[in-house]
Parts: sequence; C-alpha cells; structure tokens
Amino acid sequence: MIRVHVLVHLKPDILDAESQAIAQAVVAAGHDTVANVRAGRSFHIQFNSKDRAVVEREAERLCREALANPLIETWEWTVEAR
Amino acid sequence: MSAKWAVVVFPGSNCERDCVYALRSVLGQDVVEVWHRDVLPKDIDCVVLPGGFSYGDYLRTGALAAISPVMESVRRFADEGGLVIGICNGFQILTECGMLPGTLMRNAQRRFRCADVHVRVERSGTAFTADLLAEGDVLKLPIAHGCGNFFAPPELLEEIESAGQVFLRYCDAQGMRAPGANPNGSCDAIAGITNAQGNVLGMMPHPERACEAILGGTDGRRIFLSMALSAAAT
Repeated sequence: MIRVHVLVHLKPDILDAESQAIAQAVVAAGHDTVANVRAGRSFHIQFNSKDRAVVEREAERLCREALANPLIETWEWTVEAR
Repeated sequence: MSAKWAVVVFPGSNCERDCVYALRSVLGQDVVEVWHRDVLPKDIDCVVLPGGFSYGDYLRTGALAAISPVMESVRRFADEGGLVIGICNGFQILTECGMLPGTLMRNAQRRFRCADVHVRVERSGTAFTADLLAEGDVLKLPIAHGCGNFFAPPELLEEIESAGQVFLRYCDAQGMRAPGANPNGSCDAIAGITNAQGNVLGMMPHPERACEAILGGTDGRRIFLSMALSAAAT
C-alpha cells in the first residue's frame, strides 16, 4: 500500500471568494494579525498498488481528471508512506 | 410538437420533478426519468440535466456527477448530435465533464442568489431557438445558485465569444448590459453557452420554473419547445 497526500488550491490569479470571506471573518473576530488566507483541499489517498511508479502516474492522472479542475486550480502531491 | 425527453436524476438533484412537470404536464411532452447509474434509453430526442446539488456539491459543484455512469451515454448521445440542456447544476456538470468550456465558480458576491433576472438571447437559428426565439429577445427567468459565476481564462473566453457560443447574457429589462444586471460576476455577463457544434446548452437560469403564468412567467417554454421543434426537424 502506498499513501499519497494531495493538495489542491485555486490558481493565484483566480478570485478566491471563500478565502477572502475566511480572512475577513477571522480578522473581524479579533485575529488581527492575519494578513491573508489561502484555503484549499487536502486528500490522503491510499493506493492498492505497491509499485511506486504506477502510483505516481495514477496520482497525477487522478489530480488532473478529478481532484482538481485544471482550468482554475493547481495541485501538488507527495508520496507519504508505504 | 411532442418529443421524447430524458431527465437525468443524480443523488442530490432537486429540480428533476419541476422539469418533468413542466415538460409533461405543461408542455405535453413524453418524459422519462433516468437514474444516474443507468444508461439513456434508445429513441430519446432531448436530454435534461436538471438543477440541484448532485452528490452534495462534494469536491466541486458537478464534479462527481460528471464522472457518474450515465454521463458516458449522455456524451455519446451528444456526439451523435442529440440535444442536451444542462440547467444550473446541470450546466456545472457539463463544464466539469468537458462537454462545455469554462467553469462555474462561487458567486463573486459570495451570496446565494435567488431572483428573477433578465437574459438576452445572443443567437438566432440554433437548436435552442428554432423559430420561437431570436437574437435580441429578452427573457425573464429565475435563478437560484451559489456557484453561477461563469469563468474562462481570457484566451478561452475569446474563443467562446468568437465562435458564437454565448447563448444567453444577463441584461436589464431592456436587454442592455449593466453592472447591476450581472447577478454573480460572470465573465462577459454570460448566463448560458453552447458547445461548438450547437447541440449542447448549459444555462444557469431555470426555464422549467418559468413555464406557467401563475408562477411568474412563461419565457422558459420557448427554450424547451424550440428543442422539441428542432428534434422533430432532424
């Protein structure tokens, strides 16, 4: 079993209404040292293959075809454990 | 003019009954509902992907519905020239599965918008206008969405515009573009687009909720009836 950690974020030039709302709300709640927030999604995915090359290929394909929308999002993944 | 319609139902769809009611009871069409795990029946003329919150909007709006089993047959149906309309969440599903360009992002004002809006028809002579609608016509239709902010990067937007794929644009009651008339921040005030072939339409407003005067208007009928007429003509 190989586990992969995936992070997906909106591209920096895309309007990120959710992060803006979070930033405004936490500052308004008194966390006034917060300058900027960038929210994203995190996935821990366990693959049933032991072949690292296969998993890496599949992780990239999974990100591009499902976990992220390539038009507006970026993704990164790391193999975290075997 | 009666056509045979399939209304696709995903877990979390919530406008499928409105669509079936408008098509069957108001417009006299022949309608079947198709569960997302099934395939489209044969001899269908038009397909509706209805609004709602398919798969609870998990991952991204429309993203999981886009990879559900029924979509393979919807794609095949469209590839063969069949007419497909995606309404609201249905529009989001069509962009997620790549049958339409662009994407629908969270409304720029970060608010769920539920209101009647005006949209201007941008093209005549399409399968969705038949001879019931023409370029410049202004329709009053309801919207109800949190993620209706149409976005495409500049070069893709230019491609959509120059190919004449913009079908509906938010406008004021006179049909003019106005900042206050764009309810969600959509690029170029786009409310609906077609694919390059012109047989797949995605739109954020709900035509099925505008098919009876008692409910506030009948402008939605013209889109559905245009599809029925176009299907009969092929």
